[in-house]
Amino acid sequence: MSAFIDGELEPKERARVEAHLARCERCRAAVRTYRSIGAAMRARTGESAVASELETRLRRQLLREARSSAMPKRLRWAWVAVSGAAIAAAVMLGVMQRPDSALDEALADELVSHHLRGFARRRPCEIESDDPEEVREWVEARFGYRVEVPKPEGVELMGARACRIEGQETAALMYRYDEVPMTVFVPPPGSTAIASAERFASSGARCTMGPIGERICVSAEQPAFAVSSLPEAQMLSLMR
Amino acid sequence: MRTRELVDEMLRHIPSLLRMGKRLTGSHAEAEDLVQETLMRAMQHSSELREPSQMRAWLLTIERRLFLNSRRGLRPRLEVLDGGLSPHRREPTGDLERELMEGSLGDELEAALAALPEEQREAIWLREVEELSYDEIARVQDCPLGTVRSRLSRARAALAEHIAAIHERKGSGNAGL
Repeated sequence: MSAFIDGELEPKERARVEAHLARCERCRAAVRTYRSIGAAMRARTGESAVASELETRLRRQLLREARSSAMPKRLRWAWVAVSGAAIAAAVMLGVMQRPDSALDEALADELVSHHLRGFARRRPCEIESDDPEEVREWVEARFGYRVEVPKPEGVELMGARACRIEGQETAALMYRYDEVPMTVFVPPPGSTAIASAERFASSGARCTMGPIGERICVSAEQPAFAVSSLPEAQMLSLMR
Repeated sequence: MRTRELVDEMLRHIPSLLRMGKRLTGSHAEAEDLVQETLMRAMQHSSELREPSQMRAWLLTIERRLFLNSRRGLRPRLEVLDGGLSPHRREPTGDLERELMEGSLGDELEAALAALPEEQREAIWLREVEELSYDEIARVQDCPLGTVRSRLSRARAALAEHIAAIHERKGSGNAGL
C-alpha cells in the first residue's frame, strides 16, 4: 500500500492493488491516512527561508572553490613531472603510509571540519600576515606556546587563527599554494592531539586520507597536522 | 554543466539541505555550517555527479555522510518539525485525516515520528518532505531499494497506528483504520 501511494509499483502490481482497494474500505482508509500523514508532515515543515546573505556568501565561496578545485589537477601533473624522484625517495624511506594506517577517526573529522570551515569564512584568519615572525609572535601571545611558522618557497602564508581540537585551544596556520588552501594545526604541548601526532609520525612524516577526501599529513619535527586537498608528496615536501 | 550553472543549481537546493541539516543537528546554526561544508565538498567533487537531475539526492547523500562522520558513535538528535507546538492547537474533531491536515494532531505526529527507528524516520522524511524517489532514497541511505520500500511501509503503518491509538484514547471517535 505504501509503494502504491508513492507511485512506485509496476503496472501489474498497481492494477492488483487498485482492484483490491475497490472492494476494501479498510485499505482505502489506510491509503487516506497515509496520504494525510505525508501532507501533514509537508505542511508542518514549510519552506525553509534562506537568508539572501547566506546564499550570497555560499555563491561566492562556491565560485572561489570552483576556481581552486581546477588547480590541483594541473598541479598534480606538474608535480608528478618534476618530483617523481622525490616521491620514489619518499616511498623508499617509508614515509608513504598504508591506506589503513590509523589516525583517530574523531580527531581526523575535527581537523578536516576546522580546515573547511576556516577557509569558508569571509575572513579566514584572525591575524592576516605573510610574515612568519609576526604570525609566530601572535600565536605565542595568544596561546602561550611557541610554534615554528614555516614559509616554504612558493607557498603563501595567509596568517593564523584559533580553533578547538579535542577541546583544547589550538593554533591553526593558514596557507595557500596556487589557490589551494592548507591548514597546519599545531596543538599545544602536552595535549592529546600532540600525543596522537607523535604516535602517528613516530617513524617520520606521513599522510592519511581524511573522512571526506582531504589529506591529513603529520610532521615529525614539530608535531603538527596539515590538512589540504594538495597531492600527498607535495604536502610532505611543504612540511619539511 | 558550466561552473555558474552548477553553482546556481547547487544553491537551488539550499532549502532541502537546511531542512535536512536542521533535522540532523537540531540547530539552525549547525545546519548552516553543515550546508556550507556540504556544498564546498560537492564543488570539490562535482565531476562525480553523473546525472545533473540527481543533484538533490547527491547533495543530501554528501550532507548525511558528513554529519555521520562528524558525529560517529553519537545518535542523531530527534528532529523537531518547524512549527513546534502550536499555541492555538485545535481540539480533536473525530476525523483522523482531517485533524492531521488541520494540524490538531501535530503533537501526536511529532511523538509518532520520534518513536520511529532513525532509518524509518529518515526514509519517511526523504519521501514525504523532500519528495525523493525510492531510488534516490536508497542512494542517500546507502541501502537496497527493497529496504527503502520496507522502511517506508513500516514507518507509515507505525505512524498511523501510533496516531490512531492516541486519537482513540482521547475518545474522539472512529479512527478509520
